Amino acid sequence: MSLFGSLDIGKRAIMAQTQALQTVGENISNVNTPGYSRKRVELKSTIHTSQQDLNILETRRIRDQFIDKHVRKETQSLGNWEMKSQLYGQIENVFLEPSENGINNLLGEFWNSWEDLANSPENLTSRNMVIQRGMTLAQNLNRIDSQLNDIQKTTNGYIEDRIEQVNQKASQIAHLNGQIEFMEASGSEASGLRDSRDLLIDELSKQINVTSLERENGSVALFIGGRAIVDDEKFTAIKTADQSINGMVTTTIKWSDDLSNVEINDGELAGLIEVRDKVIPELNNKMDQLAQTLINSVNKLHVAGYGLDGASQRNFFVGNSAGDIKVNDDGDTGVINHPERIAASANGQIGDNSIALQLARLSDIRVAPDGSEVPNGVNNLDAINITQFYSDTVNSLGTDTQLASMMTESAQMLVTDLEERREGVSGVSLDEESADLIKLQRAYESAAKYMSTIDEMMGILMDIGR
Amino acid sequence: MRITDKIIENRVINGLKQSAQKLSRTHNRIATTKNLTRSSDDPIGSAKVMGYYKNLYKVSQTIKNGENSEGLLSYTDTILEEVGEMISDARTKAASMASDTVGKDARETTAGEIEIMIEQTLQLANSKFAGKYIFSGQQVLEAPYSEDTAIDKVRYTGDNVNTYFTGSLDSTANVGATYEKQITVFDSSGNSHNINLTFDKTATDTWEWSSDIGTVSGTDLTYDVNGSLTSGGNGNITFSGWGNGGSDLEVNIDFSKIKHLAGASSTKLYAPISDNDIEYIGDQGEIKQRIELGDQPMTVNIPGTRVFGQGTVDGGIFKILKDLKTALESNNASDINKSLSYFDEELDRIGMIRGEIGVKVTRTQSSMDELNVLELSLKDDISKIEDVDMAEEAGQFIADQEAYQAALQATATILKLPKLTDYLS
Repeated sequence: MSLFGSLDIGKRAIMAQTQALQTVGENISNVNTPGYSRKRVELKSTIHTSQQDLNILETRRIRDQFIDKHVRKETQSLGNWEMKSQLYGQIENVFLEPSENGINNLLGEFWNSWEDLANSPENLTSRNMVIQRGMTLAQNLNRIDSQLNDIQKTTNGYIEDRIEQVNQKASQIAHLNGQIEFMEASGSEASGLRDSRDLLIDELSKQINVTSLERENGSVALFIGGRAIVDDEKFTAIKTADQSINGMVTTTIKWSDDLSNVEINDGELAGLIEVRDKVIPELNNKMDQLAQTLINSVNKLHVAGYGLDGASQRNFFVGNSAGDIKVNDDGDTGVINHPERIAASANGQIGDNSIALQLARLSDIRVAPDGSEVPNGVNNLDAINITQFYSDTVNSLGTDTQLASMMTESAQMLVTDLEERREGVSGVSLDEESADLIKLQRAYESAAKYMSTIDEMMGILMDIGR
Repeated sequence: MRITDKIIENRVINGLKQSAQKLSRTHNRIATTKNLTRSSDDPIGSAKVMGYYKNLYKVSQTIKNGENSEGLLSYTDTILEEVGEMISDARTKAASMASDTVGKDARETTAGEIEIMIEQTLQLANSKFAGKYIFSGQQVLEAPYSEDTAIDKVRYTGDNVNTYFTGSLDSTANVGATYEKQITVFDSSGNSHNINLTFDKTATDTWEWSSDIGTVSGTDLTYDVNGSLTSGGNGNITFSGWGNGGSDLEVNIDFSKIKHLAGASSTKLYAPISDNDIEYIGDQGEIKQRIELGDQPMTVNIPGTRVFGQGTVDGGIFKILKDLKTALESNNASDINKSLSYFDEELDRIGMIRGEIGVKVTRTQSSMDELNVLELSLKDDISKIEDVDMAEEAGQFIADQEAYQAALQATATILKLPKLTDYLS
C-alpha cells in the first residue's frame, strides 16, 4: 500500500470521527425532546469492505419494539380508567354523599316533618314545614337529574373531541408512512420521522384501542377492532353518527366509508362511552325509580287523607320521574301556599294524625312502584325501601369510583415503569455522551497525528531525492 | 438497567409529587375533620354511616315525640289530680250537708259553693296543652264542654239519618244567574227554622253555592254534562239528581255533621241547650304518637267523656254536681246523701284513669331512656367512621411534612450532582 493510500485512511478516520461526533451532538441537543430515541453510529472496518468508497458509517436509533407495544397496551388501559375515574368523580360530586345536604338526610328530614305534623296536625307551621321539606327533596332530585344529564352532555362533547383527535393523528401517521418509505428506499433510516410516528402512535393509544403492525417497507398499519384505520398511506376516518335510543339521542362511532360500527373497547373513548351509555343511564333509571316510588307511595296515603278544610283526594307530589317531581302546586288541589290542604287526618277531624303517622312510616317499610306497601317476607323484586335503595345506589357508585381510581393508579404505575424502561433503552445519558465525546476526540487527535506522521514521512521521502 | 438523566429527573419529580400529595391529603383531613367526604373514600364505611344517619333521624324524632307525649300525659295527670281534689272537696261538703241537723240556709250557701265548683270543673275540663284542648278527642281546637247560652249551641239528639229536599235549577241559564232556595227544618219542639241556600252560576257548568248556616257554606260546586252535581265544601251537603233543562234538584243534608247552626238556630235533629247546661261537643277520636321505634303508636289523649261524662243533661261529674246543687237548694237531704256514693264512683274512675296514664308515662320514659342511649351510641358510631382522629392525624401531618422536606432536599441534591463534563478539562 502506498503512502498516499495511508493518507486516505487517515482522511476516512477523521471523517468517521467527525460524523460520530455529529451524532453525539444530536443526542445531546435532544436530551429533553419527548419521543426522541438516541442514535448510535456503527463503525465498520474498511478493510473487509469491497467498495471502499461507500460510507463506512451507519447511524441507527436505539429502540425496543417490544417495550413500545407493551407501553401502548397499558396506555390504552390507563386512558380508559383515567377517564372513567375522572367522570365517576364528577358524578359522585352530584350526590354529595355523605353530607348534610345529601338526599339521605333530606329524606330523613322529610319523614321527620310528617312525624312533627303528627304531633301537632292543627299547626300551620308544622304543615308548612312538611311542604318545605318536600320541596327541598324534590328540588334536589331535580338537581341530580339535570346534573347527571349535564355530565352526559359533556361526555358526548369529549367523545366528539377525541374522535377528531384520533382522525387527525391517524392521518398524520399515514402521511409519515409515505415519507418514511420514500426516504428509506435509499437505504438510510429516517430516524426523526420514525420518532415522530412513534410519538403519535403513543398518543393515539391513550385515546383508542389501536394495535400497530410494522411492514417490510417501513410503513406502519394501525388497526381498531380488526379494521385498519391506517394502512400504508391510506387513512380511513371514523366519525360520530346520531342514534336514538328510547327517545334519547346518543352518538355512536362509525367508519366513514361503509358506516359499520367501530369496535371500541379500550382507551379514553371506551371509558367515555361506557359512562355515557351505561353508567349515567343506569343511575338515571335508579333515581327515576326512587322518585316514582316516592311520589306514588306518598300520594297513595295523602289522597286518602283530609286537609284542615275537610276535603280529600289531593296529591302531595306530582310528576313521575326524578326530573319532574315537585310538590303539587295546582291552583285547586295543590298544597303549595295551601298548608291547610296537607292531609294529616284520616277522618276529617282536626286532631286526627293517622295519615301523617302512616306517611312517616314510609321511612321503614318496603313499597312497590305503585306505592303500595309490601310486607317483609313477601317477595317483590320491584319493592324498595326508599332510603335504603338510595343509600345502596350511592354506595355502589362509591365502590365503582374507588375501583376506577385504584385501577387508574395501578395502570399509571405500570405505564410509568414501562416508560422508564423505554427511557432506559432509548433515552440519552449525558455522561455516556460525554465519555463518547472524549473517546471520539482522542480518536480524532490520533487520526490527525497519524496524518501528520504520514506527512512527515512523505517529507523525509522527498528530502532523499534532493 | 441503563439510567439516563431523564429517568433520574422523572423519579425525583414523581417522588416529590407523591409526598406533596400525601401531605395535602393529611392536611385536608385535618382541615375538614372528616375521614369521609365522598362515598368512594370508603364505600363500606359510607354505607354504614348513611344507615346510621337514617336511624339517627328516626331516633331523634322519636325522642322528640316522646317528650311531647310525656308533656301531654303529665299535664293530663296534673289536671286529673285537681279534678280528683275537687270531687273530694265536693264530697266532703256533701257529707257535711247530708246530716239532718244542717239548716236550710247553710245548704243554700253550700249550693253557691257547688255552683263555683261547677265553674272550676268546667275550666279544668276545657284545659289546653300547647294550644290544644286535651279532652275534646280529635276536635282539638274546640272547647269540649260548653256552657254557653248563645242560640247557636245545639245538641245532637238524633241518629245519622239524612234529610233532603228537592228543587230545580235550569242548566241552560246564563252565567250570572242566581237562584235561591229556602228549606225548612224542625226542632224537637216542632218549631220550624229556615235555611237559605243561594246558587250563583259563575261560569258555564259551574254553580257556586252558599247557605246561611255558618259552617256548611261551600264553593266549587261543579256541574257536569251528565246531569249530576257533586259538592265541594266540607261534605256536609251533597247534591244529586240534576237533569238538563231544569229537572229536580235533590239536596241531602247530613245533619249529624253539623255542630253549630248559626242564625238558623236548630233543626228537628238538634236540640238547643238550655241556659247553663253543659254539654260535651268533642268526639271519641284517639290521638296517637309514635314514642317507640316499633310500628305501634301509643294513644296519648283521653276523651273528656271518660273523665267528666256527657254533661249536665246526660250524666257524669257535671250532672252529679248539678243534681247536688239542686238538692241543696231544695233542701233535700236524701238526694244529698245519694250523691256521696256517686262521688265515690267518680273518684274511683279518675284513680283508674290516672293509673292508666301513669303506665303510659312510664312506658314513654323507659323508651326515652333507651332511645337516648341509642342516640349517643349512633353518634359515636358515626363519629368513629366519619371523624378524624386528630392526635393521630397531627402526628401523621408532622411525619408527612418531614418526608416532604427530605424529598425536597434529596431532589435539590440530585439535580445539582456534577456531570462527567465537570471533571473533563
